[in-house]
Amino acid sequence: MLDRASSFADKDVIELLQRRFVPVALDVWYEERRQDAAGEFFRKVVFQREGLTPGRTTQGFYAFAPDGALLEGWNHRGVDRLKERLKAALDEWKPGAAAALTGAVDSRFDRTLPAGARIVEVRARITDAKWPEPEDEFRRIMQRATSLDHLWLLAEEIESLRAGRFPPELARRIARFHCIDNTRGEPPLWEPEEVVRCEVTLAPGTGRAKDATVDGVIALRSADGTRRYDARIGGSVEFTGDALARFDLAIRGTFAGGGEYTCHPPPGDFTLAIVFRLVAPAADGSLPAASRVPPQGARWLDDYLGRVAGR
Amino acid sequence: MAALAPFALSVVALLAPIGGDPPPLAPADVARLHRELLPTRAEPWETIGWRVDLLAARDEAIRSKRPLFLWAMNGHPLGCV
Repeated sequence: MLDRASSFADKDVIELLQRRFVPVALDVWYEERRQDAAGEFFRKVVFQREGLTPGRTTQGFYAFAPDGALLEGWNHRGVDRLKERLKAALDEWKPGAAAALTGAVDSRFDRTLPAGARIVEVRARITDAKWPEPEDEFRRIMQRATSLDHLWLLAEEIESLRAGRFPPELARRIARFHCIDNTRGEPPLWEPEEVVRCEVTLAPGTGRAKDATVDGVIALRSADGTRRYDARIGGSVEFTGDALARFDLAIRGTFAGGGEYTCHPPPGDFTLAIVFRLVAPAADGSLPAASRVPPQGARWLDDYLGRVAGR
Repeated sequence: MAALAPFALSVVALLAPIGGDPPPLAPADVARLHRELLPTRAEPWETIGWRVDLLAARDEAIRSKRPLFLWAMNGHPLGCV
């Protein structure tokens, strides 16, 4: 989020990337692991970066040619550095030939939206906390950050909502994978045994729901006792004919604790709010690029989709 | 043992239930949270036109004779945090 609100909000950077580059954004967790042409090409590019050796994080920024030749590679924040490196890459750049890359996709890392599923935008923010005075501008941005993730609603769950029932599998997915404080970094998710309560209902609870009200309680406790969330979920779900037209939910509750990559939480208890809204396709049916990014929890796809027995 | 006492107390405090359920969210609460957290128009970073498929972006770069720029993070830059 920090880079979205700083480096990639700069108008010169935006113009350079729009006009002079083909910009790509990727999750290295997938690219480092996949055994296919995309994964091999990714690794070919990033391991040219000075000082980067296998076993170290490949996170960073890379300008490169289609044949894989690295022009510039770095892993430090700062909009001035970003502009310098982009301009240096353009100075070095000479168009050349590049062979086609083909081959089967490594299906273990394929995250195609399941048939009939819908994408829901999920945003979270700390709305009330006793923050210390921020040390710098980055910390100030983090204290006000709104995160972005996506929830997948499966076809059978949409059908269940249409029939007037909030599916417990969906409620547990929301609790385990979306009741997270991801406002400062990659957050720890919740294990099944860490879900203390997850009771979500749709009213009216019987019959076919055209416009139904959601209400429920979610309580989460980490096994090591360092994190907790006690929250209320509410909102409404609406159908137009058989089509899901609205999935406007919100969660608000008391959170405490942080994780390895979400350090510097507010001290003590704080209020974490999370909102959900269906992603609307454009008139031509296309979806914004960001909405095609799979849910963070879908790294563990079968678990995310509720296909692991006992979880 | 004495040194462990503050840690043990903090764990107990985190595990302790909070009195009662959180209050229900009225429709006006949900609407207000939506207004506060959901952007009403594209944010600047969204106007860049990010691609999310590396090989498709590479093909486009070949066709358009442009270099690629990759933003790589652990957790997708467009949707993890």
